[in-house]
Amino acid sequence: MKVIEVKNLKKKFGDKLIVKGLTFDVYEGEIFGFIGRNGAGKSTTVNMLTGISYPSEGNCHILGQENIDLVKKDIGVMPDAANYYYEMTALEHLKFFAGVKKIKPTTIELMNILKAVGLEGNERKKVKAFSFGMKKKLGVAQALIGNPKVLFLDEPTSGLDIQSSLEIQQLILDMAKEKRTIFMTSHNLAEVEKICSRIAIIEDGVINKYGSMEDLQKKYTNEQLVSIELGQIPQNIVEKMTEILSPFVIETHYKEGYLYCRIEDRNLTPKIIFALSKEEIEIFEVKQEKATLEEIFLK
Amino acid sequence: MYTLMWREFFSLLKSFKSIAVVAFFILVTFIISRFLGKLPYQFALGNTSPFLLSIRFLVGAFGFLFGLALSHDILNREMESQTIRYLVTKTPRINLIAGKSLGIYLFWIFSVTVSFIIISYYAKSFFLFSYIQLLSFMAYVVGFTIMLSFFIKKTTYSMFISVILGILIPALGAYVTAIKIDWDTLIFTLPVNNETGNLLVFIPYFLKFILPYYYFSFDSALSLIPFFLGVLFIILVIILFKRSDL
Ligand SMILES: Nc1ncnc2c1ncn2[C@@H]1O[C@H](COP(=O)(O)OP(=O)(O)OP(=O)(O)O)[C@@H](O)[C@H]1O
Ligand SMILES: [Mg+2]
Repeated sequence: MKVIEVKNLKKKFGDKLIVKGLTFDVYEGEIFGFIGRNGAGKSTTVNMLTGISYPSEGNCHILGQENIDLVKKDIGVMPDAANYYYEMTALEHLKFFAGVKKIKPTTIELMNILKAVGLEGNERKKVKAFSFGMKKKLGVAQALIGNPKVLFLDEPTSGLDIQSSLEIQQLILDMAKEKRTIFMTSHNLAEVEKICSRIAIIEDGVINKYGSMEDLQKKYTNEQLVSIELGQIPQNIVEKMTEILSPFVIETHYKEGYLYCRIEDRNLTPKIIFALSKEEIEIFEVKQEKATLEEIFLK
Repeated sequence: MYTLMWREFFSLLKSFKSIAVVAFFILVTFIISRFLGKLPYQFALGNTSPFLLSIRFLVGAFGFLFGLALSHDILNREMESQTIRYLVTKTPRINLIAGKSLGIYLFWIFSVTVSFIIISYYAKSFFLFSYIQLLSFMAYVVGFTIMLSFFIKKTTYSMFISVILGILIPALGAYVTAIKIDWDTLIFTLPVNNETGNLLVFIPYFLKFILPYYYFSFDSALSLIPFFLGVLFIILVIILFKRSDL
């Protein structure tokens, strides 16, 4: 089921076109990663999807509705930049926001949300005494009020320590398991690679790469790395190996029992194995190393 | 919407400023009415109670100043600090404006009501019509305040402007209410000489109808017009707010 449906979304600031026509869909239960360089237009897009700003052209449907007002109860949003009421505590914020959302969770439910994002023990502290990371966590917490069906998280883990990041990642994974849909941005590509089921890379207001991690790897790795675990071999064999493989590989590299071959096409892998076994070199394991998101991103 | 309304209401009520406003209205009402009561020409007041005259004068003269000064930042502060982003992703924009407007209006209903109850206890009668008139007046002030807070994006400017307007508007109001409508000028000047210079002639007339004061010279339902003007201001803000980037 399509939960977020974006068609030709554009945003102009003044007469400058910042988001230049995005089209994509996000399905139920997905964790959708939206990545791109600083100023690419990620937050501008999130803001248009969530009713913080309005599109100059195109449209988006959330849960089948074009009018965002009709689904505000079902979405949770953590914007890139927003502020708190400094005189209020974390718990008071959640109570107030729940009221604005017209829901009445119990104090225990709200305390559990704060616990889940790692703010246990700080529930009754005024926000003016919060650190950057604590405010970030409160940002995630307020998005979770009312257990919304769709979550929009703009850089939920940036500026958090490793442990806290992992907790938030786990929280996001748990939400997705409960059929919640998550749209998130991040600059931590390892994180995106780990938890996102599909990814869109936006560059200068246009999506230029889009799909699941496997799709992207297939599409954007024309050069592949194969690692082959060999038995111990004398140095002169290494030179010989390089020579016999040279018709198939771009580059070889031998290090501590492993031979790394950079090849242009994965169909060449059997040829390498065949050539090596002809020389009676023992092969223990052959692994296809895939491109990381970072490599795809930088391409 | 109601959460926002009560929040605005109670934050106004809890602040020291609000108590000061009500105390000011009541104390000065007593002082003025005392003074009026001692005048030898009491007949000049006709049947009107001195209490009533003074509370009407006070709200008319200071309603704008207090209303604007207390709430000039009701929208722009949240837009400036972007706390509004947390609100606008949780409730329709119309509820946000409506809730906040109702919150301040509730506070003024409360303040005017308390003042009237105390005054009527001493005056031994309740002045229902004036009470409604002043509520209508304060609705105008609330609408005007919401509009100011929406159009002036910086809280430091809106603070400054609200003090100036708080003094200027009653003065202008008094002036334009006093001018007589010369229908001949109104009807014949426009089609004949529609140069900008001549159009300036209409500004006082325009102000006369757009400011609340003129309508209170009628002892009739026309006194409710300021209320509807206030609502109109709020509707205008709602429409424009719908298309704002936050
Ligand atoms: N209100 C605005 N008025 C004018 N330009 C804006 C406005 N908001 C954003 N921009 C511009 O739009 C572009 C995209 O900004 P946006 O915040 O969407 O980037 P981003 O992809 O979220 O970047 P980051 O990774 O730094 O968060 C930037 O060039 C920015 O300067
Ligand atoms: Mg951003």
